[in-house]
Amino acid sequence: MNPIELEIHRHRFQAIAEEMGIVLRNTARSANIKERLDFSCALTDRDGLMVAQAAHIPVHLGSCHLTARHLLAELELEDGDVVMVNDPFRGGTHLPDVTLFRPVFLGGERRASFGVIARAHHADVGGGVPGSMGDFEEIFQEGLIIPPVKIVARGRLVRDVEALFLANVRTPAERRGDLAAQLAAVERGALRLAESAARHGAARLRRAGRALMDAAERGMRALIAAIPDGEHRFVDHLDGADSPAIAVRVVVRGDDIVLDFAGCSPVLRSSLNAHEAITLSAAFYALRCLGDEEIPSNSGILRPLDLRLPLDSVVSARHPAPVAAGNVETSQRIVDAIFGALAQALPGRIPAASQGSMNNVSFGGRRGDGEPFTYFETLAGGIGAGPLGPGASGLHSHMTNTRNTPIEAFEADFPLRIRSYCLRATSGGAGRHPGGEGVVREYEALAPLSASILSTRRELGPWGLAGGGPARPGRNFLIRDGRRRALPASVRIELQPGDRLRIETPGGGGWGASD
Amino acid sequence: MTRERVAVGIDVGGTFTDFITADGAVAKRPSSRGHPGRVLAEGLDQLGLGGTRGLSLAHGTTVATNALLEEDLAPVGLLITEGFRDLLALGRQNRPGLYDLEPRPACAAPDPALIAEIAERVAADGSILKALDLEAARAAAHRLMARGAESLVICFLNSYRQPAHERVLAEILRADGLAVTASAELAAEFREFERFSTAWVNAGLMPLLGRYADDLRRALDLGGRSGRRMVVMQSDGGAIGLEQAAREPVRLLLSGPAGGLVGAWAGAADRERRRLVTFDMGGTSTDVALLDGGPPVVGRAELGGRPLLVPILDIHTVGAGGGSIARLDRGGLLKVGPASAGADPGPACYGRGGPATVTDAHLVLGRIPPGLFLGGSFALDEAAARARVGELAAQLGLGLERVALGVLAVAEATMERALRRISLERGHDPRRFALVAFGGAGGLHAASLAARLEMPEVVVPRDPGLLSARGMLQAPLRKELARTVLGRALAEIEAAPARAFADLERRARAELRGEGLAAAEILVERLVDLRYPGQSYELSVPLGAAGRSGEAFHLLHAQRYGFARPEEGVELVALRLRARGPAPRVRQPRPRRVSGRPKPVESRRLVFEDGAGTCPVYRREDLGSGQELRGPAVIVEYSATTVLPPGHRLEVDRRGALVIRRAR
Repeated sequence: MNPIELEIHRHRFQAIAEEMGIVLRNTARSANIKERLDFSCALTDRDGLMVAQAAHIPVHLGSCHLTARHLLAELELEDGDVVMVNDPFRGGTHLPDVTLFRPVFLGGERRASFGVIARAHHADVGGGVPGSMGDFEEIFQEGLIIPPVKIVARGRLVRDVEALFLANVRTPAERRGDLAAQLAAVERGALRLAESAARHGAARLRRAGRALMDAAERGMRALIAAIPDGEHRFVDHLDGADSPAIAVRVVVRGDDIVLDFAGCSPVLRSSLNAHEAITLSAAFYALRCLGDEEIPSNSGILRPLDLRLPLDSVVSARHPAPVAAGNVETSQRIVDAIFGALAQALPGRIPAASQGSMNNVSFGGRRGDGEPFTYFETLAGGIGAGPLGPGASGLHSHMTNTRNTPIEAFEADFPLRIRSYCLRATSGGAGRHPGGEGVVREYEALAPLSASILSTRRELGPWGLAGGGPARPGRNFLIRDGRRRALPASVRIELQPGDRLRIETPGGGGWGASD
Repeated sequence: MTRERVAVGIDVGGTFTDFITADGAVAKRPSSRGHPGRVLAEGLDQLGLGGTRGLSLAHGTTVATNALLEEDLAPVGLLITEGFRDLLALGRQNRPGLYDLEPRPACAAPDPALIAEIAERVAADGSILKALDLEAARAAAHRLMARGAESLVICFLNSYRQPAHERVLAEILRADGLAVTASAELAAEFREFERFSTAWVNAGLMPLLGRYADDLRRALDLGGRSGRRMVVMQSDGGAIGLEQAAREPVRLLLSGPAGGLVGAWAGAADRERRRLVTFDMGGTSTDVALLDGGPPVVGRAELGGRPLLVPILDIHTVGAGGGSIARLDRGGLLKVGPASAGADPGPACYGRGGPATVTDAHLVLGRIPPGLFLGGSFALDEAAARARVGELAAQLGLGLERVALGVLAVAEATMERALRRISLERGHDPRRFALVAFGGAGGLHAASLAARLEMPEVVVPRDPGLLSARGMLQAPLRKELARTVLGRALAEIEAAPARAFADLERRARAELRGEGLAAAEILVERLVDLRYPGQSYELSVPLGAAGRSGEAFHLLHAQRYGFARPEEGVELVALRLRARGPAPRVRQPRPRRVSGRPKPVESRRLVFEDGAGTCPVYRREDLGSGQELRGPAVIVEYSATTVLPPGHRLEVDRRGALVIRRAR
């Protein structure tokens, strides 16, 4: 297929993924999806490899092809089916991310020609804490586990599956609305693929998908070949007992790259475990950042990569390890470690560490009218400074890019008030280019409610680079009766009216020695 | 006074300013950033109207747009609720580039030295948690002015629900003679960042637009004894008076393109043709919009990375134009744009060492006759175009013409994506719309794009370069106001619409009366913004009798998103009032009727996807209404070129517009 036709198909595929995202955003019910845009849409080929994605959330996207391959291996799929899954070990990421996958049969082909994926973070999937983002010892405590099951079979909603799901969550009405939005999104994707196939033919579209992966591979190989051959190591740490280690060895040889995670701590009895799909997402993200906007974002990017994972480590946990925070916290540290090693290979190119946490905050309880609610959000922080300039302040970094919820929308919907939302002065690392500032967000409870925090970089601040200083680590506080009490990095607390929760997020590391 | 006196429409562009009178007399002057009033006065002189009293002038200007895009706003003093000083810097916390190693926020943060936190707080239900200390706030405002602020903006949380604090502070500061924008006064809608950002941009534009208005008043002798009045095109396709424009300049950000849309509607729509997609292709970018029964207005948009909560025509812009650069990327794919060769060096064919561009590809394929560009006043270097495109061809290992066709196909893929975004993605079937092409390059791609989307016809209006100026003449005075009313019952509004809309209507009418409209001339349209309970994105529908607004919403939701859930009921988010005066009548110039076959000015070799051959080139001024042509052919005029591909026929309609359809 010539490069001209290919570029035209790339536009179409990406536009389809983007349109799915617009449908999902505009029809969803929960603040986390409609305001914060905590979702991702992608297209896969018939073997489950990712063909195109919309620029949504990196931690969702890098593992899309694992998702589809699990489902395709486990289920017989027919036209009009939609599969639902959240099991992290069978195609999911962590339990709140509920993924819908719809096989798309084009032009009378007997095997699915393509697949479309809409993955969205639901504000509750049951389990031990409202918001399903707590720190536990087994995955069973984290919420309802959904293996690959058909939520729609041959075009008809499977009410039994929906009922089972809704019976296990704290906010069934909102979940049902979000699920409807995801269904609308995958239907839109399937419709657009069918229109394209009517014009170009299914076989030609499939060829285009494969050729785009080849193009991405060629682009990545050209980039890797430009990195000097060599071997570099880096170790970074998570919070908690014995500071669990994330160790990586990066080996560049010609246009191939090895990421070897031997030396990582063994699997933890906490939700900070990452698993293969998350580690792969982090690797995808780091490689994609080395390229530019022009390289198509698809599974071809991963072809030059040899990912080596030790058995049962903090980056390769298996069932039934808990993983809720591996997705949001450990994924960030894996990126930090990969960039820490790459900085040695590419001095003058890689920036210092960004905040390295997503600062996950969830609330649950009852509204004034007695209706149950759950709410989840993540908070921005400082960006690491780099050779080009100072780090930006108050932005989301690396594996997430969700928005904040407008204070006016938050206060109108939940029995909480925001007392302060501002930059955290002097939190960025010093340097010729200083790191970005973290943020301060202070919540006041207006009713009795339960709050959970999952965070890291509360002990060790994000590192500086090339002589730049580290940023200040984040801090969590409870303010009760006018007294401020420090809280641990991960905690669940019951709030009474008037209690305040204050989160101070980490800054970004500095770059270059100060004069 | 009525607007029948409107005499001159003026489109102030980046390079030239175009003038047109209601009778069709035209003038053209080079634009001047420093002396906008002088350029307008010169244009009136050129039209022989230099001394005429009682003129009504209507103009569109890019002065606000340029200031925003070039970050050239006046220093703004920000007065914001205590605890939230960095709210504008924080924005929505997301980064625009997902995979940037060193990401930057979408827009620059305000100067921290010009921010004052004000002790006050309103709760989400509108109750006052902490009363405003007016004197302390006033003192803070004056301190910001002393530190160099030229304009002030008041941004208080939940003011959309309870604007009292913003209002009293604004009043006292205005009484002190200061330029003030209060967030809820401009847009009484929820989501603080979007509302504050809109107000902050307005405040940053006020000093600039104040000087601009003064310059126009002086140079044109507006108001008073001269009886000359001036209105300005807003982003929503309606006009407002110069005074109000200077007070609410954020309403002018799409002033120029809005004129184009109004002009396109006036120039291409008729009784049978009520659905249009406009396609305005220039040197660096292409603007597209969908007009279903009239120019479309939305309540939110984004410009220069800043969200804007003011009524704005729904125009989608993509970075593909005649100057878009073609090159190969690392993976070997052919890329076109968004980088542009600009005016200098310009495309390779300008002969100043520029790169291969879309324009060069057209030249290689014979579609732009090099001797007839800009009426023959600017010779194009065909050899340079062939050389640059030839280099790409060598890299790709394909033939020269094959690659030139490929450059056009890739550029058209970007444009097709834009057209799909505004039509199919919003539930509109393009097969029911006509494509209206204007701008210098619109006619070069229109027929090919229409075929890709199965659109039945292409219309190239007369004088495509003057469409915008004519649009200025045809815009009614207009005022749109919205107010968020979360929690109110829709049935209550449907039962007593006049009472619910009384405040908005009073304000809109007062402002339009201030522009000289008689009460009886003002038309009022009431809309409601609705959503399903729990959603965040609303759809605007006309307010109907009991239950009707909800029905309209379910229909629209199904059309746009593929499903509706009437059983869940609807939630009322905002009341929206559109008030406007009558549309001014403008005489459309009648082209002469001609019979017989038109004579080509030359013949040249044209290359298309399915073959090449020698084809005629016509001058547009040689074509008269009623004449027909069969493709392939090229039609040239002073500032535009239209390609009639093989398998298409062209007819000149009674207004002089070119109408292209596929031949049966």
